[in-house]
Amino acid sequence: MGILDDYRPGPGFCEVFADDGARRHYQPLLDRLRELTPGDMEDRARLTDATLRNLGITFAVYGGDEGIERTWPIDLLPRIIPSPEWGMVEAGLIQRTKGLNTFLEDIYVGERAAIRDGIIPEWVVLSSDGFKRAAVGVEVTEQARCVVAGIDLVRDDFGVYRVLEDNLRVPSGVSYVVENRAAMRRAFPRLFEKYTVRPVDDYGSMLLAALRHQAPTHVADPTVVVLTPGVYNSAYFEHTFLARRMGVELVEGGDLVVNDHQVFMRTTRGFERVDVIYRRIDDEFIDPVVFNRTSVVGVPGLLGAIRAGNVAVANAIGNGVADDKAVYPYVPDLIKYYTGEDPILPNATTYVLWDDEQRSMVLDRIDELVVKPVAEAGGYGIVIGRSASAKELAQARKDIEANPRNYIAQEVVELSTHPTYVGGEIAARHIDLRPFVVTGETIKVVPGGLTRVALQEGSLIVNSSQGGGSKDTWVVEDVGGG
Amino acid sequence: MLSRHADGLFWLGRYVGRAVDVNRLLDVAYNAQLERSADEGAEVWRDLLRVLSKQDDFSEKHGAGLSTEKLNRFLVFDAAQPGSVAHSVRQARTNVMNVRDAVPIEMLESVNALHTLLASRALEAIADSSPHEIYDAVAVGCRRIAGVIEDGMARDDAYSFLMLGRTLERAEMTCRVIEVSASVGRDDAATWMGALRSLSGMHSFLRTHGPLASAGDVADYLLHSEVFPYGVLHCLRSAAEHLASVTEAGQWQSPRALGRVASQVEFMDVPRVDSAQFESVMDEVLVGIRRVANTFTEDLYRFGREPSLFSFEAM
Repeated sequence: MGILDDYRPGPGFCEVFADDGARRHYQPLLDRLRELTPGDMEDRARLTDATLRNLGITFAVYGGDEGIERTWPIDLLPRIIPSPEWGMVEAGLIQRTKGLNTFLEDIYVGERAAIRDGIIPEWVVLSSDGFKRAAVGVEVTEQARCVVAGIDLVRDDFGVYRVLEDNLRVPSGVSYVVENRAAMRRAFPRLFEKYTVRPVDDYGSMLLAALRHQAPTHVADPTVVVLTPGVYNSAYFEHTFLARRMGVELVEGGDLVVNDHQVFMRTTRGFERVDVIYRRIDDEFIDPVVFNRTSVVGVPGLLGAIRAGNVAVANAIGNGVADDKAVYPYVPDLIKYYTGEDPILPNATTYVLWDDEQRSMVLDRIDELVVKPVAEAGGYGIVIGRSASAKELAQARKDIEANPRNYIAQEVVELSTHPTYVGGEIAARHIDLRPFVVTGETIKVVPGGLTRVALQEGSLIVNSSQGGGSKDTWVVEDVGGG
Repeated sequence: MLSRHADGLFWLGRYVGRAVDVNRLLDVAYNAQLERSADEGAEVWRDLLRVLSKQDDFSEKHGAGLSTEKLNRFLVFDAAQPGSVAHSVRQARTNVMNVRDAVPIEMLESVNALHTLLASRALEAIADSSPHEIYDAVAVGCRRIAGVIEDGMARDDAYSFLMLGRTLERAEMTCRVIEVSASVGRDDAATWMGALRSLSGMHSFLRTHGPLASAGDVADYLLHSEVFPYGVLHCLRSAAEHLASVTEAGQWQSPRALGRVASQVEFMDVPRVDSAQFESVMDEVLVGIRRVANTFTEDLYRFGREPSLFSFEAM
């Protein structure tokens, strides 16, 4: 038997098997898998799916013909990270978040020292879509402009964790971290006996403490709410999850009203003042008076209340400037500048094409690099050198030379692979990792994070909206024996 | 509690109640028509459609003929048909989604389970051969939801808003059953026993009044019984208690509307069930109950309509 007998690791770093056999922290999992038949796996997969569906753990898919909801796809094989390895990642995440928050503070309420001292060009900052003039001068408690960060990591061919992207605006996925764990406990209770796994269940209290810390200083017992665009948003499940775990109200824009620069919610007993808003609405839609006038999910007058210091909004407005693609290449230097330390987690190797030297090198090697336009989102306009035609490459060269400031280029990062249960068998699939970093009085990282899986063979696309799955992610204490 | 949540809970209560009631009405009608001739059986189904005010919608969709198969398709599985079990459950589900953070997680779980059951091919496949199995399965699903309400919810505002919806829904359903029974059965004992049965009141009625009671006794019981959970007065009093607990005295209009219809029911002289007067009295009561629901919705969103709040300068 053995459902793993035919397993062949894919290209890139393999999370489970080294050249000389299974990595030690995976051994107990592999032993357990050998006791299971394919039928056992199938039963557990079906059970897990039914449970998640009844619990309403779904996400919306826009434009799909299956209706708007799909059950959250969770893979039955957990990703396992040994505690010492995690310690390094965690330290890197804390350092990076601290650096990015200091940068945001420097830009919005500071003297813009990083620009003055030549760490980052002024035009890169001020021309970013994420830079919001309306946020200039808005103070936050202890530099926590980003209370919740989701920092996307991948592992390169050598297993080195690299930051692929920072998400400092409204990162989602943390509810699935908690629910994946609950689902795994039901599906494989006995597996947990062989490991000591760090719990992820107390996210609600971690987040609430950090949000309360943001409250205006004159408020003794602040009222916190979660602001959602509504039931049709793809992350609505997460919004309800967060409100429930924190024991606070989940409000929509229409539930809030601003009067005399104070925010209130409409309750059955009248108006109740709101002090902290954990908003899950993008900057552009948050206040139709200041930003997008057609927004119906926002709260008219909210920005005035923020500027008056009567309400705190997390994450702060304008964080998009720090997770901009054009700013990303400067983040390691910014970290070093603000913290005085060498960055623990490297970026994917990136070249800025507005630098003459880097540009000429990129133009020479364009067939082996990835070129990304800085202004486009969602993968649009990306040219992957090794799979592009000669004509596409020539066009890319021309575009770069005409408008070098619009592009960055990166070395190809092959995502690591992990055994994954697909179509009744176990096969290698690419994965990434989105850990969540919460900044309150101190900076805390949820152990592990959301491991996303590209379910198509060879695919590097892990987004759930495009057929990606997820894995429970375990940070485990040292596994004895071998 | 957010006004929007209160609204959602009220409608959750109504739709859960409606699903239970329609399912039970179907079950009772199905059993009643089994022993009758085809023509009489069709009458039973026609009365059911009248209780739900669905005669026109039904004939538009399924033509003139009435049969168990058609009725089940129409009133159990057709989610596009307001009033059907599937429609009520779908609406209940939408409302649970909207108030998800204000109710126990088991609520969503139990409503979803029933929704999944109704959408499953397996259930529809047995619809024609063994209808009672469908009614049983739906009833079990509904009881699971009722159990979550009873055991899983704190007795706070959320509970009261939900119960307000449920009790008003019941009061309205009982009135409709009385009205239709009076118009078709006049004082035919079998019709009124059927009415009791379709509201789960047969057993308790027989214990207090015995099987020789008159149609008037049954109508009086359905309207005024202190102990019968579907009794109109009982439901309205319970609704009044829930409403009083979620609002300060004098703040809302709906408690007055509710008090008015409750005392109307309490002190009415029940006319002979076969008189035209009976029908008009029942009509008045139904209008009164609907007025409570409308006034309640207005009350919920009264806050925020004060002019002072919209005069703020747009920065």
